[in-house]
Amino acid sequence: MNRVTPFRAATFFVWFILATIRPQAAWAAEQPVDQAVVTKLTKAIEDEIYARGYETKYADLGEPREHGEHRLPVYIQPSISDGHGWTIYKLMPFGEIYRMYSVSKDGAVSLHGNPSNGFPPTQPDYLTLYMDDEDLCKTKNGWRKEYFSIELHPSAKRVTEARVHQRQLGSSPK
Amino acid sequence: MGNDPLDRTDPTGNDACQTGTTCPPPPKPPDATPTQKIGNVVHNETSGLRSSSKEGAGSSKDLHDAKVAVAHVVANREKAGVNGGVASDKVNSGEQKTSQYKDAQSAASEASQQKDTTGGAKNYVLDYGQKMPGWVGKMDATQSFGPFNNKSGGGDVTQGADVTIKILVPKEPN
Repeated sequence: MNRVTPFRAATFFVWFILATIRPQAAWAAEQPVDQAVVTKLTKAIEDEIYARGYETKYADLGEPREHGEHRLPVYIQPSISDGHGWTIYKLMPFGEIYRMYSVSKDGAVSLHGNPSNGFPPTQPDYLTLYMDDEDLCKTKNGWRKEYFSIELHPSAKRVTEARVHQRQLGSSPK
Repeated sequence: MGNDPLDRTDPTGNDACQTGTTCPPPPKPPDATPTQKIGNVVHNETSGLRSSSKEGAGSSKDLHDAKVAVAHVVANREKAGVNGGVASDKVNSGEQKTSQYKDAQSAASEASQQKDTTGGAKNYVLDYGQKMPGWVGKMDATQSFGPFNNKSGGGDVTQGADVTIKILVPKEPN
């Protein structure tokens, strides 16, 4: 008969607790991008645009929708490695960029790099015009395609929220 | 008299500024020298990096040496009339108070007073594990510094020790 001794039960309990806690304590070397990361990443992209006042540059881009909103694609590398992933999207007035982002242990998503630097090819965030055309097409085809939305005339409340969020992540406009 | 410091009518002389009609524009800060501008580029390229070990590769000395090498490359590009392709040469006053900024300026100054140690290199790249621009594959790394920690998201938390700085020269034709 297979009896569960108190010792084995306690061991199992400790193992269960550790297994439950671990995902919050450390990043797996590589893991797939889930919907929560996608939502936070698109929000971070929108926040940066509003915080820096770039929204007016989106009038002729993407898919125009109701209330002056424009929907644009964002391509997301399907996995995160050591808390880092890459994304491709159009950040006006610079153009299309390949950009690194980080996911902290508590799940916050922040974009790497300072737009004031202009995304040179020396950094992990750079304009896609520096990429090989074929490589860029292949990359976009292999990545997850999602969308972010930009209002050409956001409310003051939304802009304030974006600035606060940027400050919390330590990436206020410089 | 409007701004008489003796009868204290307007001891600071700023009352007129309240009306906005006669206030002179604030004095402009002096222009940065060419070496300071190179130091600014070096800072904007490397300000997110931190040493990952006490000595040897990845140490603070290694990071400083990397900054000196990058300063040489930026100077080589300027001598060759190559514009753009590197980070901005503007740094805000808040950033100028950081130890990273002072180290970058010190590295630029050091580079300006010594012989080029990069063999005339005109390219470098910070390798975070990103997909590299196409032209990087046609270059050889003559010097490599790091790995350094990456300060993510503007916070104080470092993630990974996987950023290397590579000094690049065109591959020798076979």
